[in-house]
This record gives sequence, C-alpha cells and structure tokens, in this order.
Amino acid sequence: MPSLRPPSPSAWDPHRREVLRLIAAGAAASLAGCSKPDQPIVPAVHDAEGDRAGRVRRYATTLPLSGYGRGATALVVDGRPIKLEGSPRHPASLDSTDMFVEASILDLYDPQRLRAPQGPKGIGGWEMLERTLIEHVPARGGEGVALLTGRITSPTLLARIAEAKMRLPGLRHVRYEAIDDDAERAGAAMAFGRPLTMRPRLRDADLLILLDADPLGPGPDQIAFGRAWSDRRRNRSRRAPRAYAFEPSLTASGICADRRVALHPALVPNVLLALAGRDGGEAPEDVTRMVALARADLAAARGRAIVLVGRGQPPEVHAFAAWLNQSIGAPVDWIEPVDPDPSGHAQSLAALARDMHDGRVATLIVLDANPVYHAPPALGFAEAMKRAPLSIAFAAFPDETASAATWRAPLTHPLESWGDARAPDGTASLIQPMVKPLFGARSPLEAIGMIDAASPRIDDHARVQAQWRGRAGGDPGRWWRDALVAGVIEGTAASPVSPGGAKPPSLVPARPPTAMIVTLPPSSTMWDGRFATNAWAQECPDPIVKEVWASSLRLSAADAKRLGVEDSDIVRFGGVMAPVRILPGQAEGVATLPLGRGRSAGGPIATAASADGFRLRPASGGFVSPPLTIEKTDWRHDVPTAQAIIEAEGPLADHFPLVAPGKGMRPADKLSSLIGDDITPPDAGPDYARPEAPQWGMVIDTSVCIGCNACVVACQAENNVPSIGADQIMRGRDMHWLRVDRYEHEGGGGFQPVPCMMCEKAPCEPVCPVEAPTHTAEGLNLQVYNRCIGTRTCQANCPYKVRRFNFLDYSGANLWGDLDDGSVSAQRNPDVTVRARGVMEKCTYCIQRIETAEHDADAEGRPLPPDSVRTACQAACPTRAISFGDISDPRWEVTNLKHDPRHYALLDYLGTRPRTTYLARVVNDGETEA
Amino acid sequence: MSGTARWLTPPMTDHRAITDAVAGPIVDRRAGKAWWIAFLASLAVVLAGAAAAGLSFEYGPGLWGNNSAVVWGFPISSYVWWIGIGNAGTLISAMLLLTRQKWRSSINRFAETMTIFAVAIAGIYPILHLGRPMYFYWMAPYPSTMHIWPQWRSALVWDFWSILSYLLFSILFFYLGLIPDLATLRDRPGSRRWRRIWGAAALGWQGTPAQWRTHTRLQWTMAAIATPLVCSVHSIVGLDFAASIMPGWIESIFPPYFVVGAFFSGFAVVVLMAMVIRRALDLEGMIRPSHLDAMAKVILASACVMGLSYTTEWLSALWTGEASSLRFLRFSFTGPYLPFQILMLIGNVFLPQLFWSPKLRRNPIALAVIAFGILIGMYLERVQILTNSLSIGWLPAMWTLYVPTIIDFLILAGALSFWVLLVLVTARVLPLVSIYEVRALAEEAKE
Amino acid sequence: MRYRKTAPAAKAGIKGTDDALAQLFRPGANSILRVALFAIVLVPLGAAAIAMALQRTPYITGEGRFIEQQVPFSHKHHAGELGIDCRFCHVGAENQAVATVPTTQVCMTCHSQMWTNAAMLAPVRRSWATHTPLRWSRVNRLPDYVFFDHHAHVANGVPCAACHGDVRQMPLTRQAAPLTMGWCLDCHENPEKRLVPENRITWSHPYDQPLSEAEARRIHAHVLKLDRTRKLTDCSTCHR
Repeated sequence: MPSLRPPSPSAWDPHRREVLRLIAAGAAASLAGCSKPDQPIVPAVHDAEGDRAGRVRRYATTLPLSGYGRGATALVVDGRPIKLEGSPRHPASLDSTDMFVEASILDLYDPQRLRAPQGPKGIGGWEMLERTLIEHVPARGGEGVALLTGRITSPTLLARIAEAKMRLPGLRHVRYEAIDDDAERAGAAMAFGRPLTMRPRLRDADLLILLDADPLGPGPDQIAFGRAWSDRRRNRSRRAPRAYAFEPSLTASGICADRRVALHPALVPNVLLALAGRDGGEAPEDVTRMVALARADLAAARGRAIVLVGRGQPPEVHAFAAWLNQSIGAPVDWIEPVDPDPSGHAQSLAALARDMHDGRVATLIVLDANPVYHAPPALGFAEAMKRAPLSIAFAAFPDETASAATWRAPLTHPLESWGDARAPDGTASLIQPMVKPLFGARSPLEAIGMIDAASPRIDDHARVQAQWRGRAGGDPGRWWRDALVAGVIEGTAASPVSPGGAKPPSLVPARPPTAMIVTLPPSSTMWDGRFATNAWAQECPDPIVKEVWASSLRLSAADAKRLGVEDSDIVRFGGVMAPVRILPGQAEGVATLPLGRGRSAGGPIATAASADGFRLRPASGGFVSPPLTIEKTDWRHDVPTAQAIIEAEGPLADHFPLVAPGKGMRPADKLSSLIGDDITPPDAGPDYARPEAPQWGMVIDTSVCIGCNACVVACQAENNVPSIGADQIMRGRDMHWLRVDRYEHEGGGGFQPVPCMMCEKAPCEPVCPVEAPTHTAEGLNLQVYNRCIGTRTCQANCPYKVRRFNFLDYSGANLWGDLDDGSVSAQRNPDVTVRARGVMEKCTYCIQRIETAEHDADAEGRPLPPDSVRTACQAACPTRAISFGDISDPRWEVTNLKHDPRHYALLDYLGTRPRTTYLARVVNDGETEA
Repeated sequence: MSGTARWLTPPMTDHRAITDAVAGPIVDRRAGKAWWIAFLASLAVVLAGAAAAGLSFEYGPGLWGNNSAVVWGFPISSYVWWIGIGNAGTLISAMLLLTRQKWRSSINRFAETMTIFAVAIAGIYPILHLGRPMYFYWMAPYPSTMHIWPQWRSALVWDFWSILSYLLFSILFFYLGLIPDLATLRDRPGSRRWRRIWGAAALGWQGTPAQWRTHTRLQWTMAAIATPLVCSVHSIVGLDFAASIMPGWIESIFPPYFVVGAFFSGFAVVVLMAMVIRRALDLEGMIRPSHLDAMAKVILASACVMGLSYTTEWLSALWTGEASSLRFLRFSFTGPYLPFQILMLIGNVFLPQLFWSPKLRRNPIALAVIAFGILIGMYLERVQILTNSLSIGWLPAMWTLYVPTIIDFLILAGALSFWVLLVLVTARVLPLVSIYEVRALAEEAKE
Repeated sequence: MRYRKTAPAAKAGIKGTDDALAQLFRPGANSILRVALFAIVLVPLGAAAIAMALQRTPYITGEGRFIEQQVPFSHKHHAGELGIDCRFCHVGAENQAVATVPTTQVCMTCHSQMWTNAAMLAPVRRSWATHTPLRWSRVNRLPDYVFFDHHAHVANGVPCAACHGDVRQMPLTRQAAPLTMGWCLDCHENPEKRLVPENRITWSHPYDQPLSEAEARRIHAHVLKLDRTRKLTDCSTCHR
C-alpha cells in the first residue's frame, strides 16, 4: 500500500509584525468594502511606436545555464517580461523550455538580488569600486590578479577577456564550473589524443545503453536530448527502440528506460567490458543477466546503438566507451569543445587555490561563480580568499563567495543586458535585454570593463555587434535584426570532426568496494545550487522522490536494514548529516545525495537545513564521494514531499497502464473515448449547445514524459501560482495546478502529469452551494474565483484532487510570495486573477490564452486556425508530450491523438468523461503484454 | 395508579411541591458556589475558543489541520455532531408525546432546551469553516444585483434550509411548551422585574380551559410535524456526503444511518443532563430509577441499530468487492486511524451492551459514564467519516493524513463550553422540567 | 449545583398571586404584545428588503458620480462642441481590451497651439515638460476580477453610449451606468436589443432612431451567428 505523507504537527506561528500587518490589511479591506477607493489611470507621456496596451509581445533572447546558451522567447507585457518560452529555431530550446528557464523569470524580479556594490566599509557606489580596481589591477600589469569565472562560451565575452589580457598581461583567467565535463574530455583525449565532445544522435538510436548516465536528466542538454529521444520513440517507421539503464540510483532516464537494473558505479567498467565481449570480472547476478540481454540486442543493432557513460565515471571508462561506440558504428558526432578553455576544471581551481594559499594572488575577482560553495573542502577556498588582500565577487544574488569577498557587486540578469552564448552544439545566439537593469546591476562585459579600465568605453550593445560584424556582410543592420528575430545566428553550429581511430585503452574489471560511497548527481531542481534562491525551484518537486525545499540521502532497502535506519532517520556521513529515504531501485553499497542544497549564505530562501553534497567532493573533483561510513543518529526529520509516489500494483495499475510497442489498450480496459460521443456537456442541457464553439481537450502521452517539471513551473509562472513554503507543504498543502504523479512498477514505471481533467460531468460542479465551478459552452470547467466562498466541497468531491485552496493569504506579502517587496508582483500575469485567501483555484487550460486567441480571431473575422492555442505546460514540454486543442475539429493534432489505440481516460469508470486524457506508456522490455 | 407511581414519588405528587421543586431554584434561591465555578470555568474556555475562532477569521483556515486532500476537518465533523445532538431533543419529546410515554414529562423540557442550543451552535460551523465567511449569505436565495442564485443541486444549500427551518421549529415547539410554566413563574411571588419578564413571555396565559384546549391541540399537531422534520434534517446532512463520488461516502445507507446516529448521540446528552440535573436540583423524586431504566433501554436499542448499520457498511463493501470500497475498508481497519475506529466502536456499540444488566440500567453513574462514552464515540465517528474518505481518495498521489492543530481543538472546546454556559444560564431563568406536565402526571397519580 | 436557602417566599410577605398579575402589567400590555409579535416577523424582513433596495441605489453603485480630476477635462467641449471623434483620443477602443486614456502627446497636439497659457492646462504642460505622466482618476471602475474588452464590444456593435452615456453632454465625466453585474447581464442575456449598426457606434443617442428593415435583419443575423459560436453568459466571458 502506498505510503501516506504525514503532515507535520508543527503549529503555524504568526510573527508579530505579520499580525499587525494583517490586522491593518483587514481593517483596510473592511473600509474598502463599502466605498470605492480612487483608482488612478496613468497614461504615458509619449505615444509608443506600435505598442498596444496589455498586449503580449514576444522577443527572442538567450539564457545561459552553466555557460551554455539556451534560446528563449520573452513574453513582454507593457514593458514587463512576465514569462519565458522556447525559441523555435534554437537547437538547445526547440521551442520548449526546461524547469530552469521557466524559473529564471522569477530571478529577474527577486528582491533578494544584490542592489549596490558593497565594500569593507559597507555600501559603496560603483565609482568607489572602480577606484579600488584601478588602484589594484593595472598597477603591475595585472600581475597577481586572478579572474575566476564559470564556463564562458560567449564569443564576445571571451574576446573581451582576451582584449583585457593584452592590456594586462599578468591577468590570469581561471574557469571553473561545478558540474564539469573533465572526465569526458580526458577520456576523449585518451581515445583520440585530443579533447573532443561527443554529441549522441539519439534520434537515430534503436538501442541506448546507459551506464550511470542520465541524458534525460537535468542539464543544458536536457531539452535537446529529450526531444531527440521522444522523436525516436514516436517514430513507428523503424523497429521499436529499447533503452537499458545500469545506474546506482533511480533517474529520469532510468525510469524511462525499457530495462533497468541497479548497478554500483564502480562496476561500470565490468559491464562495459562485458558488453565489448571481454572479461568483465564479477558483477551481481541480476546485472549479468541484464548484460547478457543487452549484448544480444547490441549485436542485433550494430550501427544503431549508443553506449553512454555518465559524467561521474573516470576518464578511462569514457575512453573505452568512445572506442566501443566507434567499433559498433554508433550514431554519434564528435565536435571541438564549445568551451575553448583546454584546462580541466578541477585542476585549474586546485592550482588557483594553491597559489592563493601561497599568497601569490593579490586580487581575486570572481565573476558569476561561487567557488566558496562549490570548491572541494580540501582546497580550503574560503581561507585562501582571506589571504588575498582584495577579493571582489560579481554576483546576481548574495552567495557564499560574495559574503567571503571584501567587495560584492550586483551582476545583471540575462534579461537585462546585451550578450551572446553558444549552445552545447556550438550554435551561437544573441542575448538581448528586455528591461533596464532593475537594481543598478552591471553586466559581465561591463565588469571586465571595470577591470580593464584603460580600455575605450564601448557599451555592450556595440561590443556584441562588433563581435559579429564579420558575419554580417553587406547589410549589418538588417543582418542584426534578422539574427535577433531568429533567436540564433545561422551556421554557427560546430561541425562534426572525424576523430580518427580510437585505440582501445586498457580497462581492468573492478571488484565491488566494501565501504559505502555517496554519488553526487546535480539536483533536478537546484542544478548546482544556483537556483536555491528561487522559491519556485525550491518548491518544485524532485522528479524521483517528490521532495521539496530539502533533500534526503537515498539508500537501498538492504543498506538501510544493515544500518538499522528507516525513512526520516538522520544519519551522519563524511561530516554532513541528512535524513534517510529508502528508494527502490537504489544500488546496494551506494547512497545518493543530490548536489545544490545546504547553501549557507544564499539568503532566506536558499539557506535551508539540508545536506550540502559539495562537502563530500574529493579534491580531484568528480561526482562520487570517497569511501565513507554512515552512522545513525538519534534524530529524525521528515523532508517535505509534495505528494506520494504510487506503487502501481493491483487495481492501482489501471491508472497507469503499460503497453508493448505497437499495441493498444486491451479491449478489456479499452476505456470510453470522447470521440464519437457528442461533446456538448451532457449535464448542461440544450442551453449549452453551441454548434460552432470549439471544444477544448488535452491528451498527454505518458510514453514520452520525462518528468522534467518544465510544465509544472511554466504553469506557475503563467498563472500567478504562489509558492507557499516548506511548512505548508509539510501540512499536506500545495498550490501547483499541475502535478506530475510518478508510478512505480518494478521495472521503473513512469510519469503522469495531472492537470485539471476538465470533466464533462464534473463532480465539483453540482456540489458547490454558490455555483463557483461552472461549465462553459467550450467544455471548460472553470472556477469563478470572485464567486467562491471557500466551502471546499468541490475539492472534497474531486476524484483527481486537482483543485488547490488558498488556506492562507499565499499570494499576499509573505516570505515565499514577495518578501514584502512589490518587485515580484511585477512578474504576475495581468491576464490572470491573483487569488485571494479562502478561494479555491485550479487549472484553467490557460483560459487567458484561449480568450486572447479567440478575440484576435474575432478581430480578423476568421475562425481559429488549427493548433493556434498553446497552454503554458504544452508550450514548455521538451518532449511534446502534452497536446491541446479543439477536439471537435479533426484538423487539430490533439483530435487525432484521441483516436490513438493507446488512448485512455483516468478513472474513466467514474463516468466523469474527462477532457484531459492520456496515452498509455509503451515499454519495450519484451515482457509487457498487450 | 401504580402505572404512574413508577414515575413520581412523594412529595412530588403534590402540586405545590412540584412547583417549588422546579421553580424554587429559579425564583427563591441564589446560585451556589458550584454554579459559579461551573459558570466561570466554561466562560474561560468559551473565551479561548472565541479567540481561536477570531484568529481563524483573521488568517484563514490555514490555521487548522485541513490540507489539500482532507479539505474538511473538525468544523464539519463538529457541525454534523452538533446537528445530531440537536435532533434528539425535539425528536424525543415529540415522539414520546405521540407515543404517550408518561415519563417523558420529566425530561422533555431540558431535552428541548439543549436541542435549541445545539442546533444554534451547529449553525455557526458552516459559516466558520468557509474560506471567505463574510460571503456566507450567498448561500441564501435573494435577488442580488449580480442576478445569480444559489446552486439548488448542492446538498449544502439543502442543509441551509433544513437547519434554518429546524431551528425555527424547535424554538417554537420549545416556547409553546414553556408558556404555562412561564405563567406559573409569573404568578409566583418573587422579584418584580423577573416576574414582568416571565409575564411578558407568558403572553398573558390564564390557564382557562379554552387556552388549555388550544395549547394541547397545537402541541400535538407540532409534535406530529416534528417527527418527519427531524428525520429529514439529518438525512439531508447525510446527503452532504452521500451525494458525492468519494469512496466511503457514496452510500445509500447514509441518510437513515445519520438519523439513527443523531438520535443516539442526542439521547446520550439528554441522559447525561438528566443525571446532572436530578442531583443538582434535587429532582430525584421526578427523575426516578424507572426513568433511568427506560432511557437505558432506549440507548441499548439504538446502540444495536448503530452496530447493525456499521456492519451493513462493511458487508456491502465486501459484497460489491469494488476495489475502492475494499481499499477504504482495509484502510479503516489497518490504517493509522485504527485506534479511533476501535474507540468509536467501543463507545457506540460495545459499552452500551452493559445495559443488558437491569442493575446497571438503574445506576445513574453507569448511565452518565456510558452516555459520555457514546458522545465521544459519535464524535470520532463524525471525524472519521471525513478523514477516512478524504485521506485515501481515488488517486494515491494525494493520499494524505489529517492532523488537527491546537486551534482546531480550542474551537471544539470553546463550542462545547458555550453550550454548557447556555444551559447553566437557562437553569437560572427557566424551569428545566415541565411543571404543568409533571402536575398533570401527579393528577393521574391521584386518581 | 447546590443552592443556598434564602428567606422563604411566605416570610418575604409578598401579596398573593392573584392580584400580583394585576400589578405586573397595565391593560395596554396585551395590544403592545400583539404588535411586538408582528414586529418580530416583519422587522427582519423589512431590514433585508431595505438593504437590497439600497444596493441598487446610485449611492452604492456610483451611477452619476463625478470624480475631481487634476485637469477639469470636458467631453462636452471636446467631443460635443468641437466634435472630435471618440477614437481620436481613445485609440484602443476599437481594436484592444483597454480603450486607453490619451497620452500627454495627444493633448499637446492641439494645446501646443491653442490655450497655451490656460491655467487649467498647467498640469498637462508640466507633464509634457517634465516627462511625468498625468494622473487621472478612474470614473468607470470595474472590479479587478472582471476582464472587460472594449474591442469585443465595439466590434460587435455595442455603442459607446450604451455604457458611457452621452458624454457629449458631460462638462465633467460621470459614471453613466450602475455597472453592476446584473446590469451587464441584462445585455449579455439578450444582446439583440442593445446592438446598433456600425455607423451608430459613436452616436450620442444610438437607440433613439428606429432601425431600418435591413439593419434589423443584419443585427439579428449577427446575434444568431454569435449564438452559434459562444455563450455570452458563460462566467469565463468576463471572469478568469
């Protein structure tokens, strides 16, 4: 029986200030109730060219993640960017987003952002900082000055740094990215004699063998890989694809794989060797069985199979995999690294730290990096910084490095400055600002300009243009406009190189280590910790265990038994402590702790009591802790979880049916489809019949959902959904309109996004005493917020429990709302009501988007063209799992999906006739019937 | 003769004695220490509860244990519980009147009294539990400038009407019975101010044969109306749940089963009060062991009916073999709420079985204890009706436990003490036993 | 509850019960009582009735209300006497949700030539000089949860005057309609009577002249078409 989430008994204590404020607010409200307060209209002074009040305008731009650019489209209303969507032509966006892009819009308005340069003597203006820099930097030609940045792919910024170096020969630029690719590069170097980056063509892969690799997991490539993978799975023209996952801990890729087995990361070489037909040494029995199956498939799929090893594996493993892929003719490309810096992340940081300790670094300038938090503890980076007389941290948010530095200076959000960046495949695209810097921040280019003060003052816009002048050719102005509109710079993708024959490196089978180790994957919601300040990201459930606001240490049942711990017991290991979560599918002898939590100086939202995985990182880098012991403590702590994970067994399996490739639902459970039945809401009577009204419906293909949460956060951004904080979650409350249920079959299971089902016979409607949930002629079931009195009867009677109640004034001023600061409310979507306390709310199929589309169609006197309305979740989905539209019109894609043999409705036997329906998940494990 | 003697013992066979016994505490005497202690104690708790309710109005239902899945908590279960109690008073006095139960005359008055208070308190909850209580009146049909009306399909609107009509009816019925006694008080020597108040309330009752005839006819008619009304009220409350699609709620047995439960818990309160009053007001002569015996028998009978309806619920789940019902059943017997389930069964079904022994049936302590057990059992039942169904709905992803907060408990305690407070005050201003009806009983005794 | 005995009634020397009644009430008491009985029923009902009536009065709805503006702009003068078209200033009325209040630039198109020193226009000139926007007070105010779309109304033949009244007669702009939800629904329930031919959209009294045969037919056809595509009384028409 699935586990129930126990809400915390902790009582809610209103702070005095808050009490006063709320009382005041209450009083004000009661006054306003009677008399209408004067409401000003403030028209502009000058007519704006072509701007229409309240209209959404779309601008292409680029958002970097760990230096790699991902195209995005900013939705701007009355000069305020309120939402980010995908950029159609950008290879790392493909018109969709991931959770990180969606959450970035909140960062722009986040009141936690640094506001003014702050020096040893407190707040100091930019001038004071500039003077300080001039005193320290140019004096000795930049001698003893170190510039530490994250990964930089921006041609303009690289050129700018190179230029600075010319004037300041002593200036030393160190690049360090916490989630590094050292092993891949070193591996490629071993195999081919030079560092290359592998780009797997998942679109062409019939067989995918993942060894401790998570291509569908978080990262700059998630969207591209996810799309390619889902395209391949949709492609019926070739044999059904199959994916094997050998991994230490359950990942999105593992869940989506057809065959999965838990594997200790140290045993990956053994599996690799066995796959290559060599002596793989020893391995657990279930692994060897799986390897045998994989080998058979590998033999059958030569030229169409890819073997991927994770970033946590040592170089020789990567090298061997490179050789193996080459020998089986795998569909992979090799490109010159997009990040031109040849040095290894770990080594270069270690070297810098050593020099700092030895006092060879007089001035440290950290630009958009957080080494104090990220660096392995062995480097003692914080102490090293103390040795440097001057240290300056350019950062958007307060962080560990900024608080350790003598100077901290606010850095712009990508939506505030000009720039450019390269995608992981090399494609360059422009970053264009949507607003002036909100908090007087300066861009990275300007920051370099301050270091290299002697250089001529050229603003970012001019610099970026100058950078690309070469490509512009005849009409630079026109070329520039086109590049901005397109969102990419054509023909900048890195072209594949022929790596030459890889020599098979010597790889020896390992024997399973006896001591426990902890694997340290990047967090699916925090990435490397840089999103920890973001309330949306904090409240976004981990795809695997559904934890929010904190992480637990994932253990296998066997290890937990051995250690005598159970869920929520706090354990101590390698100097950190974390509560335990027993996770099915976890390899024995391996614990897993996602990175990016446990920030110590990230502000009120980031700084949560949770374990910091970077404390476990060996000085040599990598993503596996050294062998350590795990001791039980006497304490317990429940990590807040947004929802339960469902063991799909017995009758529950009906909620998430699995089918074999090419098969449909069994006739037995072939569920009633809406198509063919009349689609006017039957309980609404003839009054509702509107023959020409569109009938909205949605189909979600669970077969390609990778549980990435892009839809969840997109919905939050689009619909003004507040974050409510860990305490409220602990009490079993949440506000996400769209949740992603995870079903656990012994073989992995899958993800099932659950928005409102928009039932035609909605149980919520007849039970409301004031008729706040109503049905529209277009088949929408909508909550009328201003009519709702909060009886909650609708949710009580909703079989899908998709309605959300404002138990408190969540949207009002509170820590998770806007920190009593108005700036966050600037992000709110003006077309969506901000819900008051005591009101029930829920998914609306983005009614505001439907209305806009219909009004525009009206204005132009034409009917809605097919696929002309996209809900926020649909637009975000990297794998196109969500399709939406008018199911009474066969020209819309969604209508055809309603005819798919895999089509089924959730809890259809209740007769609610949902408009949101699903396609069953296809599992090609050779066992699933039907 | 002997038929009536079972219900009254001298001196309670004499008119003046009866009148003095009942009216005395009100007219001739001042409240004693015990009364004041009880009064102040309950007042204190009431204030605490009021504060808790105030906080809830200020901050919202977020202060309670309710969560995304278990959206209903203590307020609703309390509501159902209080309504249930409220049912009994009128039901008892009306049905016993119709069935010519002589012993009724000693208990009907305070049964009716507590009914009114219970229903009044119950009526507060549906408003208190709202997210936006200031708009509660939208549930009432009135020509608003919005041109919209309540949702007639919603059981909550039916509730609104049944509660309202029942409250009004109970007040009338209670008042009707009160009139002759008010006159008695008016005509007794005592403080002039109070006599004027009673006198005004007595509507100039003279006790002429004509008035008596009308009075009796009216009382019988209302009694005849009362019985079906009472049943309808709690059936409709039952429909709040039965008219849904949640496992454990969607059951045709709910309406009758709620009515029984209501009568059951209400009667328990009457018994409890009877035990207190006969000691406190020295009315042992009017509320005699034979009364206790009769009441105990009623409890025993209804306890059996409760047990029956529980088993019916379980068996029907087993018979249908429908997955969700079975899951629900398994949950209530293996889930984390099991202790409460057991307590409920003990209080509502097993404990009352003690009344098979005649000795216990006549033992006031036993009656008080068991009645108390029933009240607890019934409250737990009301709570579990909510939590069991909502904690394990259709989709496991949202399965969530319910844990009430301190605020929940404060409001609960506050409501209980408020009820006690009202009864205490009433005891000082109105006769808690129907003087004229006891007199009539005494008359019969004479013949 | 135990009770302390006090002086028994007999000793207290109070007169017998019979005349006690007489002392208690004056003869008029009965009639007072009867009145009271009726009042118990009638007073609450009456109070409710009054409250409901009050809701419909301009006092609550704000119908006919003026608001002090920093510039006493006269529609009577501009739209009425000078005959400037509504859409010259309210550019959004026809094609977007908000009709828009004109920018200072629009005012200055004329007032940089005429009335250049008029005292009442000082705020406009200040705004123009200092690039600080004018602040007008909203006259026709809808609740925040109402998503009103001018374009949708104008495009479908609802004249300005239907909601804004005859602004050409307003020296100071006032709220011309109650703007209650019921008032909106009157039209949304059966729009046909409220729609006018395009050429009448900006008339002061678009409903006064009877419609021609052809016009009536065209409007009827339009309403039928509307009725096939959407339901104007869906809550989502105005609330989201």
